[in-house]
Amino acid sequence: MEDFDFEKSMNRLKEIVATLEDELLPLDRAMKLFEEGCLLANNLKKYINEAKQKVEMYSKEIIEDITMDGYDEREDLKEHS
Amino acid sequence: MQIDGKRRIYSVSEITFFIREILEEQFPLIWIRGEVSNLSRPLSGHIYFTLKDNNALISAVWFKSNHGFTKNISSEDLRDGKEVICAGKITAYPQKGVYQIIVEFIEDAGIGNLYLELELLKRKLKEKGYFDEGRKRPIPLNPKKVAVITAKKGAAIQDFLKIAREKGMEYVIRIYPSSVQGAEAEREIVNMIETANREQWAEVLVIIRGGGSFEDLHVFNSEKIAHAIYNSKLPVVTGIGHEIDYTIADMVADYRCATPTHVANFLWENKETYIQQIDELSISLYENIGRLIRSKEKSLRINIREMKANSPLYKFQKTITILYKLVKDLFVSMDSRIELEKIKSEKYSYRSVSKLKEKLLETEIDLSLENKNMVNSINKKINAFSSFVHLMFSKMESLNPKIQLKRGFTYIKLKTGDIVKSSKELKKGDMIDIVFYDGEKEAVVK
Repeated sequence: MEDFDFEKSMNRLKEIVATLEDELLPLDRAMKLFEEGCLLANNLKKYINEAKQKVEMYSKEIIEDITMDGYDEREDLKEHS
Repeated sequence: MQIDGKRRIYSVSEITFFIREILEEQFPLIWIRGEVSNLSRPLSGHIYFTLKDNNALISAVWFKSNHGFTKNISSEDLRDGKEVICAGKITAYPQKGVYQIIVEFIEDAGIGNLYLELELLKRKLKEKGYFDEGRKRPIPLNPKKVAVITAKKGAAIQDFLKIAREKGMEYVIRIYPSSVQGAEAEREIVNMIETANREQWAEVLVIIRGGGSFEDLHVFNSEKIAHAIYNSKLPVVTGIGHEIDYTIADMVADYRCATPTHVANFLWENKETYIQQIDELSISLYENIGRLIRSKEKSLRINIREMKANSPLYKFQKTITILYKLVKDLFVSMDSRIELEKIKSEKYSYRSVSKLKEKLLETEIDLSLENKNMVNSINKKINAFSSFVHLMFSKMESLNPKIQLKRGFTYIKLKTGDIVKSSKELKKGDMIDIVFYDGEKEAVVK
């Protein structure tokens, strides 16, 4: 899913749904669009459900991964109060 | 107070009250000039604030009973940034261990220096086009690579990450740590804006800071930071302080959010919203294709009906119907020519025409069956029908009285035209006509 363009796929799916509203659309084209739409919907859901999240800390030498747990909320509140 | 050997030991209260005495004695009424900041108005109606200049500050209390004693300013107009001259006595507040001025009179000393400088800077940057709406770039929705300039540890990054995680979209957030207040803040923030721009890794650059006083946030009014944001190749989103805080950095940024939380909400759409949207689109997809197929089915049925109507088979059927009518007409016209009495008793009368009609109808029903052999069977029936008609014609021919005459028969007519059927009808001397196949002869009965 690396190169999956979520926004683009979402817009394409909307476009397909709108196109299929036209009952005069030739059947073979409609079926092709329908198949494409199903595939898009599956991929979109897969993308959403498998979304990865990462937080890094920049420093001059390295960019280190940090976990969310590294943040102690109470400590921070103290610092700012 | 205790005397312990040579030492004189005070309790905290004793020394605090002692200091208070000295302060009140020394400064019974003084005038201080300074800028108002951190002003608060609790329900009690008293006003608390800090008087400050570039190097120092002093707490101030303005009790409600003294609010009437002012010059060029009312107690309602007193706010952060106002440069004022206060009159009052200095005292200590033992419970907090601080000294403060009890204000008895306030005079407006003109616009606060910080505010004045800020207004001048805003005007200057505005003229240079830093705030122009036209130069503001769109911010990508659901960015996957986000650079965040903020304090390494602070409420701002906490709030931001919390919302980002809740949103659930895919991202990498790279924090560019920087002080957000104090002497180093300006230099560090500018440095990080430039670093993120050099890297060109991110899709969007976020600058956030938690809430604070006007002074705390003042670094974001820096001209250098404004300049760095203005020159940023990455689009910049700010979320500095609270809703009411509006710094120069906010004004130069491509998009200003009220708080760090708002920035995260602005950048990412909610995962659940998308899941719902995808579900709805999938349902529409199935509904639309279903409707489309049903519509195609309907027009197909109509086409088949039209095709049948135009088919040679159907036309053939129609022709048969016409033929049947013609045959019927033929019979009728023949009947009118042949004397009815003569053929009434014969086989092939009107009744036989009805039978013929039935046969034709059967043929028609057979024709309507969708069968490959239909044409053949129709042909057969048509052939049978035509031989039948042929036979009929021959038989009818033989019944024609004139044909009988050809074989040597004659019949007798009276002068009235009536045909003589019995010898008893004739008496002597009657004039009669004898009808031959090729003519008539007159005769007299003897």
